[in-house]
Amino acid sequence: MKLAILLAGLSCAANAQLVLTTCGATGASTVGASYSFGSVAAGTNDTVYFCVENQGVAAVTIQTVAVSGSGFTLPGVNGTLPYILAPSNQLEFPVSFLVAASPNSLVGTYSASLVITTQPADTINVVLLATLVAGPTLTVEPSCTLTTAGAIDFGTLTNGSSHLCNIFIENLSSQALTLTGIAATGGFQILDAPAYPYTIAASGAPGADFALQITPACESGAISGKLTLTLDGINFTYAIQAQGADPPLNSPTLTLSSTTLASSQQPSISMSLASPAVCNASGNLNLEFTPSGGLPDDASIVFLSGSTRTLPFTVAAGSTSVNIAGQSSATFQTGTTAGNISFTLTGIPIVNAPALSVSIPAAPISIELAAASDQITGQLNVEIVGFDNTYSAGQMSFAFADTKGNPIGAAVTANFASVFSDYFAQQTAGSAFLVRISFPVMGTQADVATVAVTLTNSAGQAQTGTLTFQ
Amino acid sequence: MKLLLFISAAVGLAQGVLTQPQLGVMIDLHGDARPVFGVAASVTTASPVMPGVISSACSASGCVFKLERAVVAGGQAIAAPNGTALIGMDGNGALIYFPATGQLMRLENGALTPVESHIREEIVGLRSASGVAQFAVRRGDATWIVNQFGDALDALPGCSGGPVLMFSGGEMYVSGSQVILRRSDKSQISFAAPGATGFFALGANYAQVLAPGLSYAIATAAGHERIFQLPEPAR
Repeated sequence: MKLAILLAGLSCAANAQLVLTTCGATGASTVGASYSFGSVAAGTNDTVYFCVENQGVAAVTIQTVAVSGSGFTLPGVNGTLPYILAPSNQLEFPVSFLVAASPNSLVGTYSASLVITTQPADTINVVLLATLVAGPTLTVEPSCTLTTAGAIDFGTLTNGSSHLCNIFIENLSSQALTLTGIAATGGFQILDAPAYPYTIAASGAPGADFALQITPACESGAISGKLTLTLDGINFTYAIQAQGADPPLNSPTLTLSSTTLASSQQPSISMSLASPAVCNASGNLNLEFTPSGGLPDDASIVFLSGSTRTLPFTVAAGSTSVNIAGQSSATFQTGTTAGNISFTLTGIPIVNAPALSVSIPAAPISIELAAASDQITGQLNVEIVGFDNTYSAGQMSFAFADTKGNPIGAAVTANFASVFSDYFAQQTAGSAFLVRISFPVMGTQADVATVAVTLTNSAGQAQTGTLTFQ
Repeated sequence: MKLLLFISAAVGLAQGVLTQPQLGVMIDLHGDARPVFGVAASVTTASPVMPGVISSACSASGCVFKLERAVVAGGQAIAAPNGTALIGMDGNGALIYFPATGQLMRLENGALTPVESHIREEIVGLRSASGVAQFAVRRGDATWIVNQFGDALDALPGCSGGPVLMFSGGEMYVSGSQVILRRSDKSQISFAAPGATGFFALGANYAQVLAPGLSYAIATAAGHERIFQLPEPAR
């Protein structure tokens, strides 16, 4: 009797050197002769993590770890068997319990044996228990899906708008289930829940349905929550997940202060939305300049605020007005180069992105200032400030007149094409020029009273009007 | 005919010199003096040539900058009373009034020399030409143009009481939300410039108009008057 008792003592769940505990995600607690998984719903995979710890001073070899019993499985061991377990070390392994949800699932207590053999020869025996209870089977309607892990996935949602997911609860077990509560967290709301208590008949009869709703706030990203169904006093919890994204900007409109532009102007551009923005939004308004064939870029074609070709814009949620660099409109320069100015929006998804482009047509030379001087003896000087957006200036003619207004001979011409060409080749900020033409004169300089200058480029001619020498 | 022949011949010798036109020098929102190039409404600015400028005047011959405690002209800094200054450039130098101290001085040959002032009212503008000084002063609710002895020469109709930019051939001042360019023949042109608070002489034919958050330029050459915005550099 005494020997039998001693042998029985050696086959207990833990010996003096090895101790079996739960560990890892399960939490730490010592395991005795039996361990219960508790109530597990049909179709639910419940996993418990066990650890064998060597509390002795000598190494022990774990020879085998085995689980046998309906519904219980040993997915693996965190080590290769036979495993030499050094003192103060532990070997971890999971045990899972799963009984598929079906009308044939037998609710009740399930058991299995967990056997660990060692060298020096010893054995740890534990009785594993689990109570299978009938559980619900969830289905969802598109666009929601159920992940392989059983989570309810709303997918990508537009922030600021409401989204629904219809949930159906089926009872595939052979016992009726009584629904006494539905709750959701994470900003998800329950809609159209059945009145409690609600009995879901057995074996696939029409069950209960309800909806989950969420209105993600603007700037929401990853969204998570939990759905808890209480059936027969047991809480069945399901993860809910979604990914929020702010809506794109809807049909923005770009408007110029004038639709017909020319060089050397400062129009403004404004922006508005067809409908109020759902969320605060921001992006960039970009100005691009495409010079006419062969002409260089013009650095004077910029937004005046910051002297840049890109400005930030913002719009507040609920507004159709867009601020550009903090103002209701942005002023830009059309420069002094023929070409095309276009505007684009970037930095934010846009529905019906606007495309605004305006032409700066080639034009005759524009004269800003012109003066004639005879202050230097023997020399007549003409000074003209202007611009030539075709970069083709060259031919000039000068019509001199006396004090009575009579022409002095025919207009004289001069071709400064190479001078202009060399000058324009060095310019990066447009075609503005200051030209000084000097004429050495002999005779009565004072008889020359006026001059009228004509400048020619590929787009035509421009005149200074009559300039009086002074 | 003889004159014509020589002109015709001279065309072959005519020198055409092309340069980038410079409107003058602006003071940006950070107090940096920046050269301004281009033509009206199509301008670019260059890198700063002087930081910390609180008053300025530029003409065809150069610029005078007022810093907090100095006047800078011709590359030379001269100690000066604190604060802003009204600067009237002429051919030989400049007449400068310092509102903080009420001092009137002449800048010439690199030195500031006190000038006796017979003006007792608040001076809001001045100009100097050929040794003759004129001032814009506040008298009651009106702004008057007076000579160096304080004798009234003209009144500025509708002047809101702020600074007056006086130049050869006219004045510029604020009237409500407008800037008025008034010629010596009493003709005037108004420009919309909401919030205009002051002026600098940008260059020979341009004035800078200060407004909240931005600056305008007004082309003052007769027959070519125009207002446009000056670009602000990237911050």
